[in-house]
Amino acid sequence: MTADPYARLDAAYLLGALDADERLGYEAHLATCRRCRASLDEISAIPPLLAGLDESVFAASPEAAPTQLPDPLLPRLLQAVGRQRARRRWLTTGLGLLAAGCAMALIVIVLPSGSGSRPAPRAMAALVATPVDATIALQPRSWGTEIDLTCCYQRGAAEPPSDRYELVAHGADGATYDLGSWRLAPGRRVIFASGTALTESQIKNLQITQPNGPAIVALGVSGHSRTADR
Amino acid sequence: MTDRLPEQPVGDAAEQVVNRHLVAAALRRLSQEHRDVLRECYFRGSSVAQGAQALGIAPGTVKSRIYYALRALRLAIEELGGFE
Repeated sequence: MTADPYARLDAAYLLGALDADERLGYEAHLATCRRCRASLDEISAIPPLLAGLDESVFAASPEAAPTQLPDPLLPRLLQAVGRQRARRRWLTTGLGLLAAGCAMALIVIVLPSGSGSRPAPRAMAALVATPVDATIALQPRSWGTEIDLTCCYQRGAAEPPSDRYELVAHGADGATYDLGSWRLAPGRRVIFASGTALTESQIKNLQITQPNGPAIVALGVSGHSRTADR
Repeated sequence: MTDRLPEQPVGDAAEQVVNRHLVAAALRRLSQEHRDVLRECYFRGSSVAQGAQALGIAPGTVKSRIYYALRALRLAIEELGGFE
């Protein structure tokens, strides 16, 4: 069909599966190739639709193969980074391409996401010794703030003290807002989509707690919301 | 230009139109090869190289399978009425 070596890379790029060299090469190529930009645009809306699903979705199929357990030896850190990368990229490419057209999108793609207008996931800081790693991306919405939390146990973490976690927001008004809870199993990563009617400037910080327990990780929000970079 | 902003930005609307159950149903319509490559490279977060090792296929095959898998998924979502 085509001799363009980049022609089939859009999907791997969107999923964050390319290695760094290939990704940079692809991004540079995008700047010069309208066909590849159009090709990327065709599917850029798809990966965000997968957020919140996990592979158990396949097991629910009557004709599905026997359920495969996740490989506990897979490097979870890499997974988390890969997912973060992918997520960040959807936000920049997906929305950027759709909203701003190709010329604008190129600028968005090539710039590191932290300096663009799209939210980059930010790591939550540990408040106590904890095996939990979490990142949060905040997206202003017409109704408030969308909160996308990614949470997993650190690789090789010992027996987790709990499998239930809760997300709370402390408002600038001094009130505490419950934003939901979830279970976290070792070796799994939870993408927890939440939100609040508060705007970013009305959120002082976000914390993950154990039920009836102390906060274990936190992210300061207002005061250093947009400029807080990684 | 109008003097009122729409109720929601376009991105929001697009995200809300396609619901999770529909996407799950679309995923289940994919071929086994396409499911396998999405399981590895999306749900398990594997790189192309890791996916190739896990699936026992060449890295180039992983890339092209992801390429076709996402397009097949898009088509399946469309067929189920996910996109207007």
